[in-house]
Amino acid sequence: MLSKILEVDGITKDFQSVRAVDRLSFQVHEGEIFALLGPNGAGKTTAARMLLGIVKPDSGSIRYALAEGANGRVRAGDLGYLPEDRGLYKDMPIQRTLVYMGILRGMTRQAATAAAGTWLEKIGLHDRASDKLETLSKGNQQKVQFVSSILHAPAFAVLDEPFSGLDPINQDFFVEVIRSLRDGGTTVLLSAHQMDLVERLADRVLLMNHGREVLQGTITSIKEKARSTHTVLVTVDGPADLDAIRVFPAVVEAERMTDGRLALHLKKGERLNELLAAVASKVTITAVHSQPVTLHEIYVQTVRADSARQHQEGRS
Amino acid sequence: MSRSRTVFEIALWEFRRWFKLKDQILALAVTCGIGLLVWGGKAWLDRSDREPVAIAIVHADLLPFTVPADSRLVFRSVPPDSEQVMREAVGQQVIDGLLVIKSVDQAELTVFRPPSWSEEVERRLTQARTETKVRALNLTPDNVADTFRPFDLRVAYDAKGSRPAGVAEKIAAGIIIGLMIIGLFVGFAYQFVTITGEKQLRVTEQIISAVSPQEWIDGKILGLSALAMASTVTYVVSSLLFIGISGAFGDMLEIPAGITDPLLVAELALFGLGGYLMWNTFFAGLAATINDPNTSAKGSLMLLPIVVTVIAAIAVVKDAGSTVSLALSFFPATAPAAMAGRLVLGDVPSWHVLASLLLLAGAIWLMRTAAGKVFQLGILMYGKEPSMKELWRWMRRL
Repeated sequence: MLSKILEVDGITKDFQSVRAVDRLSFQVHEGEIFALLGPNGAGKTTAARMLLGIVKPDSGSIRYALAEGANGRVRAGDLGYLPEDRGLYKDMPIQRTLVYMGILRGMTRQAATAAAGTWLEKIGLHDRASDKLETLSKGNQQKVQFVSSILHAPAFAVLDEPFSGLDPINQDFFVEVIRSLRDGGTTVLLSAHQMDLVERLADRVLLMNHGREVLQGTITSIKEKARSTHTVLVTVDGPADLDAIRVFPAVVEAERMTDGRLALHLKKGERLNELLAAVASKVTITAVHSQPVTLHEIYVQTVRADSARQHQEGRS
Repeated sequence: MSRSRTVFEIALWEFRRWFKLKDQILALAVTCGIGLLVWGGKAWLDRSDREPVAIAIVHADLLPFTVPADSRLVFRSVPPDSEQVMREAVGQQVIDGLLVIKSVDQAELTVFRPPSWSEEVERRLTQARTETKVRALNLTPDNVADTFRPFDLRVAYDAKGSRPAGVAEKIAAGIIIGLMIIGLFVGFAYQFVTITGEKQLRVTEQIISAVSPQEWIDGKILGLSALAMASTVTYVVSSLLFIGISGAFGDMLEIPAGITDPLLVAELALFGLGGYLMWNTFFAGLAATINDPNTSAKGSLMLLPIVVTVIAAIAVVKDAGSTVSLALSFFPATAPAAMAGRLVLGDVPSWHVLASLLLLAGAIWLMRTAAGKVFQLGILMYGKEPSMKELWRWMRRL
């Protein structure tokens, strides 16, 4: 079993009349990529700031299984942080800025200079090392910003919305960089909105809404937990009577898709034999596909359901 | 990484970010250019002022006078009937002037353009009139000089007392405090630009996750105080260059001997640095509470240290020995300027210097802690700026 690198226990944070984070608990294991998901205002950024000690929780505890510095806090060099609200010194040369950020994270000047050179090579900006940041394109500025947060090869990195504002090519680039970080021994906690990217990257996710945990676990377990229906796509040769299909107890909904296929939303665990036999008695079935539920669907369904529940609770 | 290394690295970053050697060299070159222009120009004008001035004089016998050999005025007595011809000669600029003596008390000078030498003519005529009238009274010029000689009152100063400052000392004190004010402007400008810029560029959160707010503000204060000192040194070197250039043109500006004393220079440097450190803590703390420098009302509050320093400078230069100057030189907010002024303008007991420095150091420490609290909360605050009441509440959490 993997050892815990971070244990968060019941943290709560209020800002005036708003509870930004509400009794949030989770653990992050060494060497994994853990994703915090949630709509805008769910409390992800506040949670990330609390993990970095930028804001203090009103209650609850945050414990790292990392060595502490002289000030009783985790050493700056063991943590990396890419804030959601980010920027760098636009009027300064790129390499000098990276070296400065590395030094602030405890690197020697020599080590920071070497690491900056390696990373600039990796992101294709080696020949621009002396240029000012403001001369780079927005995408390249984002790359430099990203590098500045992990230059020191931290044990634990918090990446808040690392893909925001990136085009698909750069998103793929960052997916690979985050994977290589993890492979290099850095444990990653990221928050993001791009569900397809999170699904590709994360080992475990925690879905938040209104500051609280809604779902938590591995992608597979979450899909399993969240799935109340499963969808079967049936390709038929000829017109099908949807009303006749809807009368089967196993069918929650049946619809015809734009490509002509029938989408049959079935109750979880229901058998298909009788249903398919009934459909086959009317029309010819040429293909049957099972459509897996996506993280995006789970995200949207769960957040909507949770918001509706909270609204209901608020009214009653 | 140790706290001291973190602070040093931040200070180094801030200093290197803003210190441009090229600009300092350019400032020195500009000073040299201005010095050459001013002193070279003055020398050229002085040379042109040495050209002989030809003046025709009518009725010279009414007021006889002599002109020393080194005078540029050349008088030539002409007969009264040639007065009209001489006037025409003035009109044609053949001669520089026509002086018609009307009586012992009155003369008329005709010129083509306003003369720079008329004062000397007037002086010579006044002297000639005095001599004529003295002769009429049968007095010798020596009798007259002896009668109107000022009373010989000699002031002896007690060895422990203070001596009055001369004009040169007052000018020197003004210049030194002026240099201090320039350093304050440097601190004000760069703290303001750096901190509000970092907030606007959203650099703050990433740095605050790596270093403590107190380490960050300490580094900024040190780095930008060093920058202010470097600027002051540049201006001092510029001033010395300017003085050197004046000497090269034979018109050396006077430097009071007292202010070249190494101990005094060291004391002035300490008070200068102390002032920069103290006021930079104020600038840094306040700048952290400003979101938009274009609209914030707190920008004008940042001028407070400069106003306070100017007031202290005026009080001390006016009367360095007054009770007000004494009090100002101990009050930390005004001590850097007031004590610098007192040191240049007179003798200051050593214990005054030490006590003032200790009070200043204590005030720097307190302000640094208070500014650190304000900075910690202000630097990550966006949207509504904190009110003065909120700032006070933050500072009280010491």
